[in-house]
Amino acid sequence: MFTGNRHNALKSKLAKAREDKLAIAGYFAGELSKEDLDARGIKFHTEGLRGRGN
Amino acid sequence: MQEGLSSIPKVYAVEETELGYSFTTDSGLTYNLTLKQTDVLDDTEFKNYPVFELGLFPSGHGFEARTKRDDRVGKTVCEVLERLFEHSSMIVVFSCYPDDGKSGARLRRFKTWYAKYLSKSQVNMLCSDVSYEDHENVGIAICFAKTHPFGEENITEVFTMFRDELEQNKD
Repeated sequence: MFTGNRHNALKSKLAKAREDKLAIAGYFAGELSKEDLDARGIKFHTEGLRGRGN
Repeated sequence: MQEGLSSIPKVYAVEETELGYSFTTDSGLTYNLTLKQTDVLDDTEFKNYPVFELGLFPSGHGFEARTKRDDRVGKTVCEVLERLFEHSSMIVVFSCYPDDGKSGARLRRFKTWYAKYLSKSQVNMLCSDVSYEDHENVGIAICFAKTHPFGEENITEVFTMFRDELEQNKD
């Protein structure tokens, strides 16, 4: 079972994840820059697809 | 790719961007696919593996006016995911919040894509609706390689525990 503190931490993380998603949507809408996302600590997986598989 | 089968749509050309990947459809819509690092599962056994949240952000003129379903979009998203899971122990989370009343439709569409284009690949998917705090019916799916070192059974158990604990502590 999660403790109360652990549960609250999880809810905070989910709330942050949701805010991040809105911020990324703002980037694609032209409202935020990549620097804005960096400042929020948002990091992405950007490994190339080339060289993987066939 | 089985290009000889007319029932399988062709994938669009995928470009790498500073946030991930993108492709543009024949009708001119651009779909931006992102994989954002996330710590939402750090309190579970998944903390030992890279966990990313999948985002799919359409952009470009005409998005609001689109009416015709384009099967190549789902096929292309699945192709990217399949490539990313090759030789990777990553876990990908896809969440759908019901802000605009379309959460259920988005998760159903993702499940349909999975069933059509990924279920026979090396990618597994678990999904569930979760309600917590003031959020009702948040759709959450996780994808992982069927060969994931943590094991499908263990991943299923942790995902179920995560969902149940979140719901049991609903305010």
